[in-house]
Formats: sequence, C-alpha cells, structure tokens
Amino acid sequence: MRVFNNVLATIVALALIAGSAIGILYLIGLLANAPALTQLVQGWFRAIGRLSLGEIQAILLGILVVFLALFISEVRPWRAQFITIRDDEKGRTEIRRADVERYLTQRLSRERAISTESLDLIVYDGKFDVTTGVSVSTEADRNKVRNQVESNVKSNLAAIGLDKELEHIDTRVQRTKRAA
Amino acid sequence: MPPDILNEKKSIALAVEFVVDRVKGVSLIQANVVGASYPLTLGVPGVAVFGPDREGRFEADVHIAVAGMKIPEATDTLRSELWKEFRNRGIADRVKNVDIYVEDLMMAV
Repeated sequence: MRVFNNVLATIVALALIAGSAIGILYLIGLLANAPALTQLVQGWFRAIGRLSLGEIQAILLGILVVFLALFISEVRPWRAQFITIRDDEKGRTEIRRADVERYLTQRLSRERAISTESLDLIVYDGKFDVTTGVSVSTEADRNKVRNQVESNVKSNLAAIGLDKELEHIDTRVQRTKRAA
Repeated sequence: MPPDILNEKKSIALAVEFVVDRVKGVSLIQANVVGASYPLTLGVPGVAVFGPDREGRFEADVHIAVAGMKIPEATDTLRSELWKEFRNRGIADRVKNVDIYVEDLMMAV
C-alpha cells in the first residue's frame, strides 16, 4: 500500500507542477503581450470547457474517491492502537503500537548494510505479528539477512519484555543496487 | 461536578502521582484523554480519573513512559505499588480499576 501511496503522491505532485507551469506560461503570455502563449493555454482549457456537466462531476467524483482511498490507506483506522499485555479485574495494561513499531524500526536501522523500508505490527487478541520490509545490496544473502532481521526484532522485543506476545515475523528482503 | 467527587478524584490522582514518583523507571506523561473529567483544576498530567459508577467507584487511566526496564515488570510493579498506596490512604475500596497505558518507549531500554 505504501508503494501505491508513493505512486499516487508522485502523480498528484506532477499534476500540481504541470498546473503551476501552465499558470506561469499564461502569466508570461499576458505580461509579455504574447498572444501565441495565451492562446496556447486557452486552447487547452477550451477542451476542458467542452466537457459536459456530467463528465466534470464524474471526474471530480473519481478524484474524491482516489483521495479518500489514499487517506484511509494511510491512516488505516482499523488497526489496533494498543497492544494489551494484561487485562483483569484490577485493570488493563496497554502499550501504544506505534511506539513499539518506532522502537523496533530504530533498533533495526542500527544493523549494518540493512535499510528498513517498513515495519508494521498486526495486533490481535493480546498477540501480534511483525512484518518488516528491508532493502540490502544485490550481493547480500537473502536468508542471512532474513535471519539477521528476525533475530534483531526478537532480541529487541525481549529487551522490553514483549517477546511472549510475538506470534510471527514476516520479512521481505529487497535487493537494491547501491552506489559504491 | 459536586466538590466531594472532585476531591475524591483529586486524591486518587495525587496518590497515583505519589507512587509513580517512587517507582524506578516509570514517569507520567501528558496524554489527551477523551471524556476525562479530571484533572479540572489541579493538574496531574498523565492521570485521568473517571466515575463514579453506580457503586460509587472510580476508574483511573495512567499514562506513562518506561525507561530501562522490561515493560511488564515495570507496569506490574507500578500496579502493585498503586494498590498498596490506595490501601494505605484508605481509598482502595473507592477504586474499581487502574488502566496503565505505556505511551513512550523511546527511552525504554
């Protein structure tokens, strides 16, 4: 989903840059009294002006849906905010999921030659899974990296006393070319 | 809110603050709590007291950071010390439960 978000963000950024460029072009045309420039821009907008009301509504609706999907996929409100490690008649003990994720990401980024791309905790019934995405150089041994990541996550969870709550670790290793 | 209820909430919050100050590796941290009716006047950041319920008992939310300790160890110690202090102050029967929220792990180990 992060890849989808990045692609969409790039498209939106390019659209904004293109819009700004068209605006600047039109402004230069006006200020320099260059009808060729202003007519060029007006020509593009005339095409938009020929769209029917229904077509414009459909385009706006599409943009709204895409942005809503982007927002929801980013916020992911269905994810549990806390990990419950104790729940009895005297009260509950909960740990903020995002803090555990941040802590593990920080610790994982200390590993040599490994870049942490993502680290998520999926919480259910007082237990959780850890999914990580890391990138390494093309020469690296995937299995070795996977073991290194899993051992890092396990030892850091043990350091804060959350190793018993861990159910499963899923590690995605991506090999990327690095500049020498 | 009647003054006696506010005073009871205040006494619970102050007892929590007293205990947290004495438990190693634990500190209160400010957290926004929706629906919390205390603190109103005297600020105890990180503590919110709800209630009373039909039986006249209160519930406390305690928001903490843990430093240099295993979290279950720190929170279990805090919980037992809290109930000990509630009993010492004679307010244990007025407290239904204490929920502990660990909000900061950055300095956990």
